[in-house]
Amino acid sequence: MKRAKFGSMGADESANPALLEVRGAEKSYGRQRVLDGASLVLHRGQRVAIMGPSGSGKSTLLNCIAGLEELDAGEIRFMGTVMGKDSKAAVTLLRRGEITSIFQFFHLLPTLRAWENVEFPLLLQGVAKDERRNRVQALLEEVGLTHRSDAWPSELSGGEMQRLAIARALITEPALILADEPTGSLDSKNSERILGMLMELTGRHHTSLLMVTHDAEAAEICQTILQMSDGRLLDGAA
Amino acid sequence: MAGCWTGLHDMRGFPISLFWSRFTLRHARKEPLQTLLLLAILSLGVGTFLSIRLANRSAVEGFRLFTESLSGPSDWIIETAGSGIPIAQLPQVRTALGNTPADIYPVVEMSVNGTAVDDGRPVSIRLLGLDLIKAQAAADDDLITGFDQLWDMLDDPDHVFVSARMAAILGVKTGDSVEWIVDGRPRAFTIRGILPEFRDKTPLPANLAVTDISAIAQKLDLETVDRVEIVIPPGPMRDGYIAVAGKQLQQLASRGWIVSSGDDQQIDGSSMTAAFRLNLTVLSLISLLVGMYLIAQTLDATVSRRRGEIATLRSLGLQPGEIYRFWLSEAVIYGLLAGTFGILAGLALAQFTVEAVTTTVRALYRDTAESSLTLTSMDILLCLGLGIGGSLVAAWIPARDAASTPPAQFLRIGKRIPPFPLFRYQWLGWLCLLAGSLILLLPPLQAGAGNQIPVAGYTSALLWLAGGTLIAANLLKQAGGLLLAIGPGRAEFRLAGSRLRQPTSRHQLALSGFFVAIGMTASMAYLISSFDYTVTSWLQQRLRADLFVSSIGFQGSDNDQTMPGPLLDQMEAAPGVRSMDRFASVNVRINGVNASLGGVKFSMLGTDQRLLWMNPPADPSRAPAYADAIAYANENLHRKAGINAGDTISLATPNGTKRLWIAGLHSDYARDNGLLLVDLANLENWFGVSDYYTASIFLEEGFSPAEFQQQLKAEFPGLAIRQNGELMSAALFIFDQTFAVTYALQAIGLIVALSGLFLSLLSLLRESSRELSLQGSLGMTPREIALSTSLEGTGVAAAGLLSGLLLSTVLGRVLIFVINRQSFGWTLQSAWPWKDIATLSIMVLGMGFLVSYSAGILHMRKWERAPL
Repeated sequence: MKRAKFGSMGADESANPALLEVRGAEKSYGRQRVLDGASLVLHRGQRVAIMGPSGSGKSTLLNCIAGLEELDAGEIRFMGTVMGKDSKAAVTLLRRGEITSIFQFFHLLPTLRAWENVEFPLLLQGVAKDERRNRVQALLEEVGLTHRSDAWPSELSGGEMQRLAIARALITEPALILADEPTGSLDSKNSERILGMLMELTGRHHTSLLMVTHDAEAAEICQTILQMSDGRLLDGAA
Repeated sequence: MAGCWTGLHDMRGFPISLFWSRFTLRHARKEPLQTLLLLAILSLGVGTFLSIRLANRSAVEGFRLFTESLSGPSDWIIETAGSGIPIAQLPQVRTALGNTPADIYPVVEMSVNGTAVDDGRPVSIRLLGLDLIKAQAAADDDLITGFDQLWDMLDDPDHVFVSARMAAILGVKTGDSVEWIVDGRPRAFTIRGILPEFRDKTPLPANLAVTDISAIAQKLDLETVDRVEIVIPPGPMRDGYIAVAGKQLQQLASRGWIVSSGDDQQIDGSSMTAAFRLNLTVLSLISLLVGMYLIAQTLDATVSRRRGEIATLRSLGLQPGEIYRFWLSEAVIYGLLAGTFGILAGLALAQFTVEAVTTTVRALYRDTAESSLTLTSMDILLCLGLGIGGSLVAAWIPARDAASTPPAQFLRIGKRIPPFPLFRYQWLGWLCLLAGSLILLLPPLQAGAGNQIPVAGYTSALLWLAGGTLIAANLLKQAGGLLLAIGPGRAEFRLAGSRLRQPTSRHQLALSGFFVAIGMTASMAYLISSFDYTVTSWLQQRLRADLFVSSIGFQGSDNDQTMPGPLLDQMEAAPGVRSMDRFASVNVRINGVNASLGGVKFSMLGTDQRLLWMNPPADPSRAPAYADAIAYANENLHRKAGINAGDTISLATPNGTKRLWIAGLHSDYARDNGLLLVDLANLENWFGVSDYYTASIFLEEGFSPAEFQQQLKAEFPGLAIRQNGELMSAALFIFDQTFAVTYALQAIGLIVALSGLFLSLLSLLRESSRELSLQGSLGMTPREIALSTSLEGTGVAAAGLLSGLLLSTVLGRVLIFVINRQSFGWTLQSAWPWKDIATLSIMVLGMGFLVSYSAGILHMRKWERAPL
């Protein structure tokens, strides 16, 4: 495990119970073992980066944590809920509020305007209209997209799209954001801006961040950087 | 373009067969459900067309004389308008022919009734009496099995031979005794054999029975034959002799006999039913038209889904023209397969349509044999041509789209491909509607013998369909807006609404399919409802008697199921009968148009009996002095023969030429040919008529129709005796039978449209799989995503329903007031089918929801695998 410049949570860790625990995660696609006993503990407000070569299992681990895929063996526990076949409904509810995702290719809903994309998770939560409007406006302001709120996704630049995706990920005030190569499709200037924004906003909203990246500079915004190889995290105790 | 089809290696070194095997086939195997469904729908479209074509041909071939199936085609036929040719006068035919070599066949042909073995229903049998010995001698094969015994059989006046199919229907075998209803009376016959099928002749009609003419004349005390057929023997001079015989036989015309060629008989039947058959053919093309939208939609979806592949092919050096040809070649494959499967589907469907069309033709026109299905090489070529041609037309725009879109645009992930530019040309849509309206001012095409083909009406309908398709596409945005308004705080509504507000070509093509299917279905329902309302009103006006009498097999057409006069005299004399009207008719030509001259008792008109007048009739006392009688023409005769109230026409009868003054025009929905009504006494005197099709009985006060009916039934078991309400039901049953094919074609059109929606949504979902995965990652459950899909599909169905119904209000009026009037000569009162439309709407929206939900659920089973 390599310590990042922001350091560990230190003494606070004992007072801060684990938000996410992954223990002995195993996952295979046919004969190919993708996760081979990966373990990880993440606390509230902590930012962790996972680095490793292509095919090492980083994205699969993220998908399993998000509940989009199921483990063959091992356990993922998030806020006390064990992710698995028997808790599909609960996991779906978690994705509506507590676990959100940011992707390399942004994945905005193309038929919704910018503000509608940000608002969408609140619709799933059944939030009242006035509150939705206020929270969307506030977040768009935070990511600097107020002037682009009526634009269609296809009219936005790459950087704007990822800022919008961050706003959408934060709108439910989640406990954990899963970011899969969030700067993978951006130039260096936009990457820097996005990373700064991620660091600032997760800090401000006290949101944990689990980021998968190839980019060492991107990993630098995290307090902890873990290396992943052949389906194993080299030191899972974040 | 033409060069690309000359070989499989024509595309600048890139073999098209490689494209098919490496791309087309592999994509099809990845999506077996969509591929099979698309092929099934297209095959159904082609098959429906083929089944109607086969049924139409079967019905028209049935107009050939029944004798043709036994003795081959006749060269000349001699008939009379009324009571037949007296047997005593038959030598005059030979005299007229002089030394011309000719075989003369007197023929008796009548409809009799048997009973089906399955359900006991009455079965109409065509009983043919002809000279069996002569026919056997002329036949190449054994006409009757066991020829040696034929002479013995002829001594038995009860003998009869039936076709194999008739034997199966009646459940009889050689040696059985049967009782058939002839002219309202039960008669005993003995089945003496089954007629063999001849390989090289017209297949035997299903309802054929044969007996020797002398035997049947003796059994029924006949003094006349129905016609005389003349066959010129084969030989080098045959054509010359046919012409000479024709001229020689014309001298018989002065006796009131009608001489026509064998071909004329079929042409008459063919032209008489031309409009009916054309209507069915047009209707059978609905599903093919909707299927074409599906081909366009599927290929468009393929272009959308395989945009990465297209971009890669372009980057590897393929030119836009080659991409264009690749896509068209896929359409050819689909069309070829659909045409092939369509032929099989058509043959299967024809089992149903042949019977339905034949039943309708019998009810509306005249008796026809139900002939066997024959698939010609032209049918096969036409089906393959329709499949391939329809696919190519439908594939044209998606193929051009694939070729013209820059590769960079294809490679942009998440970018929605814009809809076809064609759908943006709203002005073109409005122009089509305007042209469609103006073209209605053109007159119908004259098809001969007074028949009219409403070409302008059909063209107008086609223009309205095309223009409406372009305009209706806009309704998707409104449907999207409506969904957003209904569920502003619901994610499913937001997603569905937003997708409809930015429709893809697939959305628009699915809507187009619905627009066409619903527009045509609802307009047909409008026509049928108007017809139903008009006919019911007309029947209420016409059916005023207490009891109605006919032969059991009488179906409403001139199928010679008559009742002898003495039988009716006996009935009329029964205590309790206040009065009786009778209807008889003979075939005549008026102003070159085939028509019926009918007789009813004019003395009862205005009191017991009523006609539905188009305009109030003139007072008979105003008839000119030179007129022999007054007459009333039906609307059909008015339109086809140009007969108007106040006209005087001359009519050749066996008793000389009669001058008839037309005192009025009346509506008549019982037939789609001309009818001129004269007083029954005149008809009897002029044509020697003594047999009647129907009779109406009016009872004295205090007599119960039900009791009287039972009494008559017991006394006359060969007659159908119905009370007023029963006849109304029977008439409406025939009406329903008439539209049986129409209902089936409507249902097929709707099934195709719903299948199209299912295919469209599967395509849209597949190309949106990343978007759906994203929705899952945002916390939407598969059920919520499926609900969103079903709202989207229902939105498409609702937009199609609304636009289709709007179209039907116009198209329906074109059908009622232009196409129907010109085809059948009937003026209908407009009656909007509220109940049917409500049912259709609920069904379309409900099925649209279910089909879309199924597509969503089907796709959702895979959503977790779609990578983000």
